Amino acid sequence: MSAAGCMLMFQVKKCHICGKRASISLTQIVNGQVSELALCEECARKNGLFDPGSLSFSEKFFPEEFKARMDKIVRELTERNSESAAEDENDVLMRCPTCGFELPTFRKTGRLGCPDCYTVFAREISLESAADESAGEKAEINEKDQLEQALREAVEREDYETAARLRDQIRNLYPGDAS
Amino acid sequence: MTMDKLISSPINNWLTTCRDADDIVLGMVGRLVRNLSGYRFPGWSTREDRDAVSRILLPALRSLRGFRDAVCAEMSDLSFEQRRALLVRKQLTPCMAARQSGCHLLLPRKRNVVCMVNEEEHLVMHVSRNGNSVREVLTELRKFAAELEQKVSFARDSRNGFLTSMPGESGDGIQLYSMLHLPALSISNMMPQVLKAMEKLHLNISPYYSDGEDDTGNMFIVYTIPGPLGSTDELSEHFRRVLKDIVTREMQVRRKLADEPGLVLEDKVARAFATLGYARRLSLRECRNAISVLRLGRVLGMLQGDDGEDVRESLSRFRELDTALALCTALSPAEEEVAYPIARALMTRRFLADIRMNFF
Ligand SMILES: [Zn+2]
Ligand SMILES: [Zn+2]
Repeated sequence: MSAAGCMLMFQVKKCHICGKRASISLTQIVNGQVSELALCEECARKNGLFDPGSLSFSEKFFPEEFKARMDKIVRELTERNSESAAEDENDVLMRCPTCGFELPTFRKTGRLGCPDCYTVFAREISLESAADESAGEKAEINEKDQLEQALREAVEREDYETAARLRDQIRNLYPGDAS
Repeated sequence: MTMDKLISSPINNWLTTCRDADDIVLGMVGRLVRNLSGYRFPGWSTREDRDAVSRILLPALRSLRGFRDAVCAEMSDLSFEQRRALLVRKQLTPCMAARQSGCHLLLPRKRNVVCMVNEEEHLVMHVSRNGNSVREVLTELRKFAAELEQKVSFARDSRNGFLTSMPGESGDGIQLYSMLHLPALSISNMMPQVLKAMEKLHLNISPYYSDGEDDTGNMFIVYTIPGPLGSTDELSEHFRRVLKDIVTREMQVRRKLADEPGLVLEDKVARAFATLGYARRLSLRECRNAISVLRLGRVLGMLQGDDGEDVRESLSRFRELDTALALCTALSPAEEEVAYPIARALMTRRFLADIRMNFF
């Protein structure tokens, strides 16, 4: 049917993730192996198959990427079934009032639901970035030096707008420093 | 102007016009992303969210100077062929090409700007320029951002900067891309070193053609990682310097190749000329690689255009050929088997009819 041998159909099935009525069913044929996956719209979205109506386009334009996404979902499903450990109750309760996004989804996808999620999941986001930072602490020190250098230069050339911006940036990044 | 008219009009961006006669940094794209508070990110937004976001952003975009008569379309109204043409013309991103209702594309007629509402973020804006023009692209992008901020308040906070769907990408919301043609470095098998260097310099590099035919045509995209708030000035200067270094390196290797004894490069150019000039069937890969080598030959003076056409004019025509070939891309194995290889060979034979060989 198309370049990558992927096929897309619409049938009534149960969602492989939550058991609700599935709105999309994907049949993938790779090397003669048929694998089938049915998802409800919500679970499809949560797994990165956004905008199910656009799937036929994704498939045509990026057969490789499409296949990779399908594989990822199948893999995650398998992992989920084998683990099936209950998630931390507090995590499940954390939910963005604007968009309904939940913490486990952020952990799984690395994506947020809406700008308001930044406030709701602030702790989790800063934990994630702290993990990145501790790996590159040295780089951060350099960054601070560079910022301060840039600030001095901006003051010298009387570019006060940039200077103010840099000063705020240094204050934001290193709130403890009096200098 | 309708979308169809726009698609059939000539492309006037870096794709078809050449600024630098060395044919290395072809062009540059700056990407600006912004979001609105209170609405889901497009990745999983509802129809209502998308419509509400469009109602806010479209009028704001229209009010920018030169945007009033912009061509605008909802993605659900665009056919597959239209999307493909826009993708080739670089007036649409792959992510947006897969979108449907509530997602809008806005193309100002006289500017090299692409505005997308509900792409990966609520607002995505691309500004493009020919050649190595980091500063110009950045200036223009910031001008648009500042003008828009007078009308719309974008989601931001003091810690993260402008908020995006991936927390790691929040900050200035600006990314820079450059399209590079590196035939000498590729022919000399030096690309692995370039890749390693880019990694160390915190820049990304990927093949230019993302249609499964990786690493063809010796074309690459080097781009910045979205930086935290206030980092763009420094990041862009870093980017500019790195691009300059790549250009210097490519030039050195070109000279080395040209001076090599044994006519190795001349042989490659002549063979590419023969392939494109006489083949009856051409795969996309073969075609792109031969064109790349011919472009190199043209820059080094081994080929000349008719009527004393200057290098830039010739290079622009080569790029037009590239674009025409990209439009003629098979989507199914069956098409690739039958019609496309023949169509490609016909196009390149016609094109080469106006080019003279000039071997000494
Ligand atoms: Zn489900
Ligand atoms: Zn949210």
